Amino acid sequence: MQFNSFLFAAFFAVVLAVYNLPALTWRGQKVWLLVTSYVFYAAWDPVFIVLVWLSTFVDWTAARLILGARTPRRRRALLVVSVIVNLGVLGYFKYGNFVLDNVVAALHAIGIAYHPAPLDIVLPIGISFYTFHTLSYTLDIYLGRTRPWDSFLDFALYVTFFPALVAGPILRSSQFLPQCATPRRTTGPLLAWGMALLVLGLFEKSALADVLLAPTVDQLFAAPQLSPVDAWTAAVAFAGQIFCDFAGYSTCAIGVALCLGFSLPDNFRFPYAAIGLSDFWTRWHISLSTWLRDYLYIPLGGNRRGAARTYVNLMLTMLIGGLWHGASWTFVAWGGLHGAYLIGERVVRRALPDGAWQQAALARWLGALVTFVLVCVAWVFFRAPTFSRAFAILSAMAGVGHAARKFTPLAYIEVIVGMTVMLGVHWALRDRSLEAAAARTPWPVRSLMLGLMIVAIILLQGPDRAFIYFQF
Amino acid sequence: MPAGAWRAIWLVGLALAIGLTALCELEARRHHQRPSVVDDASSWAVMRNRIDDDPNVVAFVGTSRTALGFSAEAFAAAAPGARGVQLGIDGMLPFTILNDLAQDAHFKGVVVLDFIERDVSTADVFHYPETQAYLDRAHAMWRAPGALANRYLAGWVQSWLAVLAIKGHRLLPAWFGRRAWPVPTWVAEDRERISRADYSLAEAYALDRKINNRLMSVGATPEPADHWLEITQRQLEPLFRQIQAHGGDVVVIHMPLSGKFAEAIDRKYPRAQYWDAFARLSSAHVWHFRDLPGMASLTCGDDMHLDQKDQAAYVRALVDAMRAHHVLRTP
Repeated sequence: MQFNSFLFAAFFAVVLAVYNLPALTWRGQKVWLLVTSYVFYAAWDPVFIVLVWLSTFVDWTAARLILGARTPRRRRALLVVSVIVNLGVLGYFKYGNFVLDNVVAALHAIGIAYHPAPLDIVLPIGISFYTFHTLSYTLDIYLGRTRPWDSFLDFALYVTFFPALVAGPILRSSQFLPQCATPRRTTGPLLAWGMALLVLGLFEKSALADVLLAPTVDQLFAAPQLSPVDAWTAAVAFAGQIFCDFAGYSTCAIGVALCLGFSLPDNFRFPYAAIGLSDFWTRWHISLSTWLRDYLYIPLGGNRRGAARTYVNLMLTMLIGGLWHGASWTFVAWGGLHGAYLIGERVVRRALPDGAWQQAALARWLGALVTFVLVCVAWVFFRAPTFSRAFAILSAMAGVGHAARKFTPLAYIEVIVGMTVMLGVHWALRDRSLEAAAARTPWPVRSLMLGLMIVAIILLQGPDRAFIYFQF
Repeated sequence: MPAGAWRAIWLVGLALAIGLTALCELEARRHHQRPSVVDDASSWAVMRNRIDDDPNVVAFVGTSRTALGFSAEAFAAAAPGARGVQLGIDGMLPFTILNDLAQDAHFKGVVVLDFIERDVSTADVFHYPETQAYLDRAHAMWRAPGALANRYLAGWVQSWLAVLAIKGHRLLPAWFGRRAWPVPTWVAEDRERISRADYSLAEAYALDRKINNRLMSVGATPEPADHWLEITQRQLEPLFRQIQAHGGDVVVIHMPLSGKFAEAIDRKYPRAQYWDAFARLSSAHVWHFRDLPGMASLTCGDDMHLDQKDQAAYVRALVDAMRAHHVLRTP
């Protein structure tokens, strides 16, 4: 079920109404949330709910067994079982076709003709997200960061909580399970702010990502040849589209959870105002970047084993982060490019002298601009269907080749104005929170913005587009 | 969360949203916009699943001609007791759907198949992946219950609000007078997948462009192969016989065409050589609109599709012919 659907509006109204029935106990409320979370997932395809159950059961059991294990060897063996089951399921459904294609290509390269039947695997939505939920729980138990939770109901709700189930934010048990210990209700202020966030997220998705930017992006990335202006327009417009799409989803998820009395972690913090790539990754898809940091980069040694090892760790983390997004070498290249950026940034920072100049407005602006340009360049690999398309667009961005412009001036102006406003908002709010910004806004302006966003969501109905991150 | 007079913020915000939406709706209707439901595989799948073993089911299988020619009300009035189901899909050829009904042993009703000569332009008329997606959806309805429910709710809203039939981002320039209002959607669809074309709403230049494009497409269609008749007969006849073997029946109807498009089709596919020859060989009831009383005089607003005012006449003429040939099982 998508947040930007009529079905979700009806579903959420029923969920909220029943959730707040005075007769319902806290346990009853949680059972209701769990059942409706399964309904939320099954609305896409009931079959794959079995995978959610499997993931829930395996990690619940593994965590309890790890705690009770008498020897480190047994603890490690139990962890390995959990990891193999989780990553095995993820690997089969998400990377089965990819692995097969690459095996076939490798065999072909050495002269062996192998033509297997296609696997015809359907990727269950949200599998990358809830797998990381459960995996982090077991890893935290193994690493002694937390203890197994006593209530299976709470744990099942943690894995399945519908606002974050299919596209995050990726939850840690320590962020969610303690919230299950105390009763929660929808209160007036929570509902008001939660619904405001839901409206903002839907506006970002429906009006900005789908109507303002997606048509330009689709057309330009599909064009066989692009002029430099078109190539840059494509990259910049996609930067806007993917932010509005994914941050829009996260904002909706946070808002919906808030209406139910739950708090979800921030997933985006005005990332296009980042100064430097390491700053970017503290602002973009925060729940994934911190997950990778805590469960991959730091266990690999982080930055504790010298510069060379740090670079290797950074690159490995980003390559795997890229692969997490999708079963394609273009995603790996996107991750690799970000890994290279992060390494390059470390090298440059070491070479540059510290000083007050780093805080100068011009240096900060320049840093943000360079960061944004580098991020846009990397997005080309993320969006392009093949390497040849990606390199064609990058060549055009570098001024190589000529082609007629694809749009009327008005279409370029729409993208430029939209992106300028977005970057301006990111820059203005870079060191503040949305809450703080809203609190400083006079109430008539808030009303006006809310009203206009709702109208835009209703009227700007583009073609039905799923959230981009549903496919990950 | 931010402090503030949230009750007032929401009340004023909602009032503003409702007011502005209502204003847009009124303005859209003042400019002759009509509500229209977006058709998709889920809507079609619901219709396909209405087909059961009832011999009184009449399945209308075809292209946009069927979608715009069939009228559920007119059919119910002309053939009480029969259940008409609109399975035509705009922009898609119907043969894969015919094949699906032929493979359905439960189907014992009547298929009214609409196609014209140029629709059989390839050796394999069933190679149509887009239609296959509709069939896949219909045969696994339970796999995506959310999409069905959402289609139902969306259809309900779309059937009420004319403003949703316009691309929203075109409203603002129109509103502030920088651009003309979008041309009214002269084709509107309801929740039962019945389309209605009101050509009085269409602007002449838009219609001319459509007709000219269609004429060019006829010109671009490969010359009919010498073995058109053999291809058609070989691929369709087994399906007709399968449906008949299950207790069903098939009517093939060459729906009304007019103007330059009809002339182009007649020129490229002389009737005696194509349609009539096919009719002679086929075990189905193969009819041409020019031979059916009440249908021959119908003209198409864009040379290829019937206007909504002619839907009832078309359906009546078809039902009369079906009665005359004892195709309809109802009294």
